[in-house]
Amino acid sequence: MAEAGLIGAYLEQLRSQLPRTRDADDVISEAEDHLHTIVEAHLALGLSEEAATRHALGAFGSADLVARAFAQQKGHGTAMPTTFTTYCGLAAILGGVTLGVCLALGTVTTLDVGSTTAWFAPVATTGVLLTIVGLIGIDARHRALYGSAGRIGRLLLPVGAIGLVASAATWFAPGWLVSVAAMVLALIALGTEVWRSGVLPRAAVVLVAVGLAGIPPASLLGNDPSTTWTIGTFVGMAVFGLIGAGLAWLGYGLWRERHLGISGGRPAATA
Amino acid sequence: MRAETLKGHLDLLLLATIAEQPLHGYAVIESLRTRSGEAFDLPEGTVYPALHRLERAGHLDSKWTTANGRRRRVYALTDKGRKALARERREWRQFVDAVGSIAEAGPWPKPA
Repeated sequence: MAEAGLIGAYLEQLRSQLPRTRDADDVISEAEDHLHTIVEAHLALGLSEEAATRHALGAFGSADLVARAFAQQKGHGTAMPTTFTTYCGLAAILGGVTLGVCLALGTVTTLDVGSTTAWFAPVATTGVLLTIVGLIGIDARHRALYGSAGRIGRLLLPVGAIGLVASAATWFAPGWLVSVAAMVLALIALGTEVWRSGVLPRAAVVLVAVGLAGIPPASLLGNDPSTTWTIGTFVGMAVFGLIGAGLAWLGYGLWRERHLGISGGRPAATA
Repeated sequence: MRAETLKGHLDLLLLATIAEQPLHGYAVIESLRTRSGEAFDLPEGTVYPALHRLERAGHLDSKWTTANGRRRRVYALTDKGRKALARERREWRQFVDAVGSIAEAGPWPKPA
């Protein structure tokens, strides 16, 4: 059944790009009924099954176009790669590599390349800024696909970040703990959404998650500057290496989408 | 006709089409195309977001039925939708009169 196969593949693609809202199933049901109705009408006129199906899909509009029209109506933003997300992907690659290498080397204090050296602060700052740009792009690419966990995560993350800065400035320990907890929850929620969407490599999400989970034990093990290598040194390097590699991999996934031609440009006009 | 030209008048066209009888999405689009002499030929999938928006605004109501073993959503105009349609029609007539009085008038100032 070429008809069912083509329409099924189209609906699957449409579903993957629609904003993840409660009525997504209804949208798919409507599209399915619409497409089959046209196909039946064309079959009755004597068209072949494949020709009728291709005509129906062509008249309906590409999944990108239709999903974008729904996203615009709902104010959810797009679930498609854009020039912005492509450049953010590049920033995530550079940020991940810079931050990963920088922080991993930074743990080796006895090799004299740590935070006391002149290059560390500007390079680490550049890495952090590039990573933030990369994360904004990853968020923009997934925003329309977020479920309730993702939406809560997007609220918690800035609240946690602001709370963290405010608590650090006022030396308010309980506020610091609550802010860290909010940020951890936000990262878990957003990471889960990115992993669940399957848009970017899931293994990269796992790398970042494992790396982030390794920060507390790495901090507890610590670094002993009096010796060349300690377990803490290795764990620290591994943790930051994993985070950097994961971020760079996510960035590569984001950057590569555009080059694979996954999305077209902006639609000429939508209803 | 360019889709961009149609965009600003889509609510009026959809409400007017559904005012006559409850219709499912494909029938709405087909009616628009046929009655406009095929001038209104939008990518069909992009009409559904507009139907959903009109439903969220309370201008349309929808019910799910079954046709040929498939779920089918049928849209009908609400009282609020009828009022909105009357308003849209009034504004449209004013717009057409105003544009017509300029576009179809002779040259101005009149040659001596």
